Amino acid sequence: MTQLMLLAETVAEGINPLVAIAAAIPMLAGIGAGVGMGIAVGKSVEGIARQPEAQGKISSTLMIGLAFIETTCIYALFISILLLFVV
Amino acid sequence: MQENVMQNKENVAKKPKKVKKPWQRGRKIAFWGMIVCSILSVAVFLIDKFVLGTTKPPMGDVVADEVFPHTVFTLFGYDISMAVLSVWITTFVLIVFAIVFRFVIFPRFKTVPTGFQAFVEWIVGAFAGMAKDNVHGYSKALGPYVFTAAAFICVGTLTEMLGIRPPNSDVNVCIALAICTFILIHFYGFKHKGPKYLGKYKMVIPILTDIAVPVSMTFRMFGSILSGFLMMALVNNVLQPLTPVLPAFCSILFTCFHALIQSYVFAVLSLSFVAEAIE
Repeated sequence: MTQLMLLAETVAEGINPLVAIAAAIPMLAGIGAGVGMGIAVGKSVEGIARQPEAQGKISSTLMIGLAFIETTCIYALFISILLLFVV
Repeated sequence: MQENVMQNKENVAKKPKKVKKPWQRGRKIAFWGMIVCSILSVAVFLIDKFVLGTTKPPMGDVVADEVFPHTVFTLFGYDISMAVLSVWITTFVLIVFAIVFRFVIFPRFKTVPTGFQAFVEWIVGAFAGMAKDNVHGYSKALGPYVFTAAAFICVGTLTEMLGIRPPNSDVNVCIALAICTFILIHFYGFKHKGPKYLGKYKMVIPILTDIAVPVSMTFRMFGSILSGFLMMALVNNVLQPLTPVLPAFCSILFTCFHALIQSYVFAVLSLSFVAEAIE
């Protein structure tokens, strides 16, 4: 632990290594987003297969749902960019 | 007599002509187009690697220069950054297109649509149908608003292909669009329900949900378009060996895809939230 702190202090220029590690941790949110999107698309394809005439409504609902899931991942990306370029 | 008959039969029995189907020409163009593009890409890559010199600035400076907003010029004492200039350019392009369309192209529409007219009719019909499905009574005002916002986002992000920073990569533009939607949601809620509209705030949770709506809309647009711009900046400057060729392929994914999806999502979400406030 003290070695990490010494390393963070001795970096004169460039990116602080602790900041670099901290900028990578939020992107673990991509795992949840990917799994969630896969499940959503799978269920919607099942729904279309059961009832092909409902394809328009199912596609629209799928698009809205995917937008919400993607927003969560974009929040994490935003924090990551903020850490890298401002801190 | 028999020789004449033989000659007539030879003249009559020709091979039947092959009827060409209309999509075979498109397939031929696509196939040869792909081969020509691959050859050109390899040629450009080899020329850049072996003929031109490799003197490119260090990567961190270039990317940081492009990401942070810096002022282009000052006007009446206000600093104008690249994103504000981009808003003006997008608005100018849209207004010029609208004027030219209304006075030159629109009077020439035919009863049976072909080509560009069919495309315009399809898009306007799609947005008007979406507005009518979601918001029954107020689709006369909301349909055009949603179409304008979607066109602004789409055209604005497509200017990124020319090297201009897209307008939605600045937080202020995204907040402005989200606030417009926020105002419209509550305006139509009051108009439809009267003062009873405030009755839904008896519990505390609807207050938080209603504040979360414009915040999430802002960051959805800002994050996705800024990340597309950042990826294009990285691909243009950092991946040194592949720099001449890769941006052409990546820009389709990061720029065009984000433009279309974000404009469509903004339109659909605005209509959904107004529909939820009305019912």
